[in-house]
Amino acid sequence: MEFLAELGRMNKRQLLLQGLNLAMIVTSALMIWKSMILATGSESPVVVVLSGSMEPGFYRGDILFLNQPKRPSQTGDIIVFNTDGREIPIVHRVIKVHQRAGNSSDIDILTKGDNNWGDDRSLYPRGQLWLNPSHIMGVVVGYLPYIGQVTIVMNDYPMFKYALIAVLGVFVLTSKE
Amino acid sequence: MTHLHRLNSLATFTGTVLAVVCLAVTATDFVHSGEPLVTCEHVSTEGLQKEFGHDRAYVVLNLTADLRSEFVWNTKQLFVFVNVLFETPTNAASEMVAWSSIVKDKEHAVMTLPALRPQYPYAITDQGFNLRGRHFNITVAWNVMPKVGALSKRVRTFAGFRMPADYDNR
Amino acid sequence: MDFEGQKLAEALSMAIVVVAAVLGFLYGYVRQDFAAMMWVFASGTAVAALVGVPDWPMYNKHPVRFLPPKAKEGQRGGGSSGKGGGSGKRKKAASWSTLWGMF
Repeated sequence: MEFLAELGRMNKRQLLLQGLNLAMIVTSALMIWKSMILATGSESPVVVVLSGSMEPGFYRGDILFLNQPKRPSQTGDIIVFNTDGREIPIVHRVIKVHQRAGNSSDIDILTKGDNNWGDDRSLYPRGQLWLNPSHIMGVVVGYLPYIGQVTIVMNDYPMFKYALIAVLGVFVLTSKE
Repeated sequence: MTHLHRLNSLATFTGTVLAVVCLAVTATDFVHSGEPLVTCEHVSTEGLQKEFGHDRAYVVLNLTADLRSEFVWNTKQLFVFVNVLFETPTNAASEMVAWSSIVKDKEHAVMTLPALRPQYPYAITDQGFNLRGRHFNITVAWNVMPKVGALSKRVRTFAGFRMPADYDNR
Repeated sequence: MDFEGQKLAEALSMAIVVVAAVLGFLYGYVRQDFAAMMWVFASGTAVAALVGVPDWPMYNKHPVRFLPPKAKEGQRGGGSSGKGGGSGKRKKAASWSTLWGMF
């Protein structure tokens, strides 16, 4: 608890400076995230795998790097999509594509998780048989194992998330660099 | 306390070095040599029928593949699949997976499958009734999934086939 | 650990990690064995931690020399140079000029 004593020992200027430190870190992180969104064109350029439906390729806690698709989806592509009313996007593989004649942006897509027995029709909203490009948040281009485990833990145990933020905040506010 | 400081700075440095190493590893994926041997022939078509508002058929294929050269140190698995492509008056391009398999190591990378049939839920379907007599192209592709880094896909094209002129009403 | 020792410890640790990374990468690439590379790297990191984190005697070869305390009356107390000087400098840095300097 010497950290709190340190904070008490600072005068107003120093407290302001430490607050500024914290703000700089937060805004830098935000800037990096936003520029990644710009660079990849995807609204969520880095995602954590939350389910085991793509095993053994992707496990829970793996990290995926996404790009906005530069060409229409093809079978074999691994895409991240979100249908209406879903909170959490799904990472699955495209297994069927129908591109309408006369309108090359009207495309019907069907997906399936590698580790699932059936296709994703049961995951789409009732009555919806296909995805279209507007549902796609990005196509998977890169992969990093295990690093997302922290996010999984923080999802499953929210108290851990708050505790971590509190501890980090205290560290930043009391560090003198 | 200073022990923790030293440990912390070492851990951050190690993390950065690890990230650089991962980039180097995935860079080696692009220095690729070796062309795997793959063949795929259409053997026959079965079950060309109408099904709840659309056509459906199953193809039987003869697939041989030796994908051992695709396994480098950064390869985690290959998602191998046979893809059929066709065109109809309503759809300028349609393609679908007729068969797939996950290959996890070199030992399983050699396949000889003379009578390959689509497993559930793969089937050749149309968004209408246009499959009869339709011409198809066949490709075999594999999605290289790495241990770290960039995913890639390689494709081979093979001779196509034509659907029977009439429904299979057996 | 004294200041010289800290510099040495950090330099040694970092060097060991980098060497382990390079060796691991080369070995793994030549043998086409990803796991081997990770093992070499992990061992190297462990060695680096073992060398650089604990307070080994070789890091105390240049101990900080404190000036003898001045006369007792009216003085803040001895030990104001050396280690005291270091943190005093840092406290000074947290001034208005630094606040604006951040932009």
